[in-house]
Amino acid sequence: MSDDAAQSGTPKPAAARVVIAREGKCLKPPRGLDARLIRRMLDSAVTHLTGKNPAKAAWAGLFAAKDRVAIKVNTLGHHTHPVVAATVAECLLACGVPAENILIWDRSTAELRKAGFEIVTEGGKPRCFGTDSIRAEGTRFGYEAEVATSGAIGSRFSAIVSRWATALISAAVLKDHSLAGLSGGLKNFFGAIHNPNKYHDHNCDPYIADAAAHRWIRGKLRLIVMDATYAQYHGGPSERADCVWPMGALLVGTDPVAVDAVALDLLETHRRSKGLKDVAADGRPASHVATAAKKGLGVADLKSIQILEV
Amino acid sequence: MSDTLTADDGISRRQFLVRAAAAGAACAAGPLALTGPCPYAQAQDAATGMTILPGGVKGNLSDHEAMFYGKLPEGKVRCRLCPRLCDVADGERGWCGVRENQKGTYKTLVYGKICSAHIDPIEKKPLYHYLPGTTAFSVATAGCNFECKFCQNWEISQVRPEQIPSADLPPERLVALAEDRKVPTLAFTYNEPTVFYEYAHDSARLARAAGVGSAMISDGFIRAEPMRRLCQHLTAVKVDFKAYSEKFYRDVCRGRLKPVLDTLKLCRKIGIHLEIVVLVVPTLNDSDAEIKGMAKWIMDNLGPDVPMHFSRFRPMYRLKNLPPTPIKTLERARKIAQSAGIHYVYIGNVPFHPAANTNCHKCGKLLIKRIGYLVRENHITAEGKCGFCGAKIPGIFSSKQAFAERKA
Repeated sequence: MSDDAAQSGTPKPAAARVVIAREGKCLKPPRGLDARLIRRMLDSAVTHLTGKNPAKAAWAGLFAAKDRVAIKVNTLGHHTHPVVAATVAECLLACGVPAENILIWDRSTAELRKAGFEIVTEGGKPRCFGTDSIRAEGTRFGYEAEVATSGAIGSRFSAIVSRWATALISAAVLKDHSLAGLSGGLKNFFGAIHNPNKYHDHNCDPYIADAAAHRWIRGKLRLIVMDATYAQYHGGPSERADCVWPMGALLVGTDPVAVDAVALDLLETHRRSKGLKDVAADGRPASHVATAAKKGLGVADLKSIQILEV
Repeated sequence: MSDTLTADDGISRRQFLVRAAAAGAACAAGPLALTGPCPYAQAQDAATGMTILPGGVKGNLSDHEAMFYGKLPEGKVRCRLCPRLCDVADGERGWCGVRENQKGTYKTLVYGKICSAHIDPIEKKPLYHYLPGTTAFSVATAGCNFECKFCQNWEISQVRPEQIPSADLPPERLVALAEDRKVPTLAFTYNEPTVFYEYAHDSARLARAAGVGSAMISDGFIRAEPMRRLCQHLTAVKVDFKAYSEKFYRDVCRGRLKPVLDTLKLCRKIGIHLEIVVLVVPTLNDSDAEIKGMAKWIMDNLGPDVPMHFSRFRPMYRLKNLPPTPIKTLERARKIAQSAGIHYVYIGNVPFHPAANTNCHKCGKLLIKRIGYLVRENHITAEGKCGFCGAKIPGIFSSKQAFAERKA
């Protein structure tokens, strides 16, 4: 993987394109990352994804300087690596989004802190805090006071998605999930509603798609940067050190269903290599990916997804 | 109608709620900082004007091991409290949102964490055949194992405990407050008590020892063994019989009917005082056929003596597109239930309706005259007999009856 790859053969953008940026050297075991290499991987992925070069132009094609960009990380159990989220923020800064317009967030400030994120609420750096840190008229503990409905969902949405953000990035982590089979870029938005526990029935299907289909998510989601540096192939969403899979990759796309479909395929392939059943055979099918496609959120059919390995 | 009470350490309920809300709005410290200044620095978001608190919410959560769960491989647990039987991974919560797997140990997060406390007339529960004219020390926590689209208490039932202010009220203090206020009954109500089972269980046990009764105001969605154990300490149960169709339970409440029927039958078998409430929702559960089916089921399985209340629906929460229940619909439902043979059928949420009164099923004379939640006349003896003809009236009409030994 190198920046040159993007410069020499910039592919034409496609609706369902997923870029897998792999670089084993980015891993600094047991769980560290080389931030410099992560930056190169990410910039390369975005240039290949958008067909624009240099990276600054590629990012600027996705986000304007006036955008307020909320980077949704996953801090429950096996979590998004803080270096990955920080690198996304760095790329946004580089393309002209001001620091005060960049926010790394999840539902709770305490969970962010526990996952190793530095809490920032003011100053010249991109900010980082949980929904529960917000107080505003018409909200309850950071969530809209009024219930919003999408499909079967009746939830209070985080004021970060309803009021603050003009653009969202799903910085999920690739991991197995005990109910949904896969916890990826779509399920990541369970962290944007106040009552995710109410949406665990039927392997979280159709609820994952319902939440992601809400206008505050669907209408603002611009990019998925799935952290597969240290993925987890079994035992999720909790942290299971013995099931961590040092993949050294980032999955990047603008189609959340396509990214999840590719992630699921990678997960299943790796599980088989470890002698484990597919998640469906294990009683937790990731059927939400197909449901999300049926709802028009993206493409789930792998044959219709252009997968670029860089 | 309700008394203002001291919920905790000299703060009245109104003060408590106001101060809790103010604390919640102005500072993230939650209920523990009700009386103190906000301990956190605050930042302002220039774009939206939102206030940002670096600490987030600490959450007034309990650390009390749950009852009725089993350990599963890979650090998971299975909750065996309600029929959902949630399998919960480490760090996750059950469907109710108030029980959490913490490294293989299942914890209740709401033990003694009270978000609502009130002294209500017992008629408000409603319990019409249980110590009429008395009061109930009523408490609630966050959480529920249903999600009824018409829930009138959704702001506490459909939230996680860290999303609402709460105060600490351990069982000992709750019972002491009830004794101090001379309130004869605790009521676990407003949200579903099953989700704060351990607190209700321990409070009811202590209350019984102190001569204070306990009523569970429930959706009935609880497994048999926990219900049996809790009933050892309770003195009354009210179950919301939400409809006589699985479809309604599934589509409107996200629950199931069958386990509720099982709970009703279990209450009958145990012999605990039971009353049933049906919230009649226009077009959804108000057909003659459904009411007939429900009344027949009650007659066949519980007998004619379980008091039944048809309550008026008002648009609420996620069901705002339907009108309030016409009073004629309630009257029709009542007539159907009476025709099926049920002795005591009431109409609720309709002030001044004569069907709020109790008439003897034997002689027909007026036994209890109610105006709203107030009892104006009561002609039932402490032995539970009609003051006119001596017929046995089903229910609990004295402390002695409340604590009498039961069948099972």
